[in-house]
Amino acid sequence: MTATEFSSSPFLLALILLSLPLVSSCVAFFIKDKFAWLSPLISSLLLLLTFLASSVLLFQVDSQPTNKFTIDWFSINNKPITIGFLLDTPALLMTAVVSFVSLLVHVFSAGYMAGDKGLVRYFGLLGFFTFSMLGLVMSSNLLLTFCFWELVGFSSYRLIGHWYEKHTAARASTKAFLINKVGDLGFLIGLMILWSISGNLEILSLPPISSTWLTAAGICIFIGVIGKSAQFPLFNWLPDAMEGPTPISALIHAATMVAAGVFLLVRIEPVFTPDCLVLISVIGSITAIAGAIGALFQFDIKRILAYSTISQLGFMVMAIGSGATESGYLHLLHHAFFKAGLFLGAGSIIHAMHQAQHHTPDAMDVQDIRNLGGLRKKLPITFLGFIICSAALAGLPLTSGFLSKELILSEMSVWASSAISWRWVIMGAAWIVTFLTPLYIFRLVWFVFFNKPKNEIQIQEVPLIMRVPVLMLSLGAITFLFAQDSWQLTSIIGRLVPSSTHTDITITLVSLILISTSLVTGYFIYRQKELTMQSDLLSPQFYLDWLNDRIVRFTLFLSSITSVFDKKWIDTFIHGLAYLQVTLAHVVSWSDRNLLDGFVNGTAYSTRGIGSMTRSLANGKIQSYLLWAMAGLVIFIFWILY
Amino acid sequence: MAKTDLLFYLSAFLFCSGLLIIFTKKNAIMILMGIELMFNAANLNLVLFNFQKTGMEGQFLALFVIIVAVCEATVGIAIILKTYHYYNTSVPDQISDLKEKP
Repeated sequence: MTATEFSSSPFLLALILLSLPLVSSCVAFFIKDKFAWLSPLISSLLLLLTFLASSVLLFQVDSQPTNKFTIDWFSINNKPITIGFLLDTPALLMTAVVSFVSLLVHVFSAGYMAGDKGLVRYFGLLGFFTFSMLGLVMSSNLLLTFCFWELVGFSSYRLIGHWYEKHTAARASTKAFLINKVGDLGFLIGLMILWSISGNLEILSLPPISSTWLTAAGICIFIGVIGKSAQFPLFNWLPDAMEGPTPISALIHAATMVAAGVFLLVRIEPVFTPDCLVLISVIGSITAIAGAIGALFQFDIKRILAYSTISQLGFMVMAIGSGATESGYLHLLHHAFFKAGLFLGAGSIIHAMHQAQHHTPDAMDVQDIRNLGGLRKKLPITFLGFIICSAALAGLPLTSGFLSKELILSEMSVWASSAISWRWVIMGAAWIVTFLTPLYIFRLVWFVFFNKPKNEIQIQEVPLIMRVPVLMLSLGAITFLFAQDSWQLTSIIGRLVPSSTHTDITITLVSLILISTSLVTGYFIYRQKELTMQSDLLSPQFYLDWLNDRIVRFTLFLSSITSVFDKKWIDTFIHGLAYLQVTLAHVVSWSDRNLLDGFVNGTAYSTRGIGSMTRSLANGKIQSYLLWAMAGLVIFIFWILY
Repeated sequence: MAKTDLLFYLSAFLFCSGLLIIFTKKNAIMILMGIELMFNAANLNLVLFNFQKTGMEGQFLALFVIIVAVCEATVGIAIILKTYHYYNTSVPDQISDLKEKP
């Protein structure tokens, strides 16, 4: 591809689009603390440009002949590894969603983080976070994807620990980082296996061959997804990550961090063998149910949302494992909008409560829903955005969540419909999640917005800069933007989801009945009740922390046993060996000193003697030179004569 | 012929005493004088050997040598003077720039 072709192709635009957030992050390093107010302004503007560029790319994608641009990076054993862009519809949709959500989070953060002393660092990392995720989405090679994958993990670690003076925040960020590392290791091993069986890491040309090794590679890569997308054994970092600033939670949960895992699943779906897909759907369903139950018993507003994310991610993973890849991906995009909206709404509530609390002497935990109530009147705009996003999460009709959920459920019912098999269990899990989701989100909305106010403090609506993002995200959660046959965006959705997929009217009816039952149940459970029940099961996050602790302790115990063995046996042996060696060394050293050195020194000594003898002739006295010359002459004469 | 024999002994004595002076005296001027003695011993030999054949070559060569010796003495004394100016001494033992420094 020549330079002119390159500059007219979408890849130049993609390169600019990718570098804009990076520029935003670099600029932050040059802003003095005195001009910290500049940082949100510049970053938001750059992100606006990013969003515009991604929209242009998205609407152009049809007219492009090629969607892949690669250059050779390096080669191993004559097999080249390339880097480049892969700009197909899933990537560009994700790019647009990521840049849109990131833009709104930037704008929201300008209000939420105002006055924070780490403001410049915050916006710098926010830009870097966006850059990493955009790179991950657009990369054409799994190795490059892995690099960006690590960068995403790193920047989320920094952002979760933004308030690093707070002990819990520092611990939470370390926990997130370490648990992610476990998954990343799996991903890396998976890449190695994939490389050794096929010698190819290009995303769209992955091998269709089916073998045991491919299953192993798929499982290993799925372990990476488990870590990044907070699936069953490794999800306990996500609720702790709520220690970070709320806009960061919105970004992590909606567009960047956890979405990366599901996105990767969609990207390399051909790699997964049927055996591997079984594992994926099982893990997904466990996660979905566990997350939903967790969300039902939490009190912290952000933690409820975190568990809800875990549940929804599990739902998507379950859908992908059951073959409904496109619908799962569609749900990921929809989820990005409404979950970001929910988090930003929660951020608005927390912000408003904090502001109000400044005027009252009594301190309370403003994130605890037991302390909230009746905010519907006080925060009407936030309430509007929050309720729309909640409806989308619950899957009520006319919302985007309804659309993708119906698609997933109907595809799964086709998948599970044959004979009675384990697939029915997965399908049952999907129904249970469909029932539980409205329940927990109803509980949240009820206690935050509807219940009687708990205390009489003056709460004011948050500033405009924070209201607008929430409203825009809730707009994205309404169906008619995405519906099958109305607006222009439908063509994109139509390409993504095969037209043969039709929602089954029975499925829709059943799920509607389930959702309404769930809402009614929620209303009757929570109408009168004060929240006092705290389940022991849920406080330590399904005993996963406890399990981690046990594993660590067991490892410590094992290592103490080995250490004793080490001291008793191996050390004795090694010490004996060492003594033997030292003795031998002494002998060698003695012979060295006395025999070898004696010989060498003797040579040197005699050489020096001869040298000084010879040198004494050349004593610098002319007359002695003459004398010796004369003596030589006499000897020469006698030599000649006799 | 006994008379010339004696003169040969004189020549040998002169040469040896010149050599001895060169080896033993400290001062450069004395060394120069020793050299002159050795020249004269050589001149004497030239003259004496010339008696044993016809012709005057030996005597003339002796005359040349005397002239050359005068020039040589001039140059030698000039060198010694320069050395004296430079080193403030005319004793060769104390002039040892060419010697390897310990």
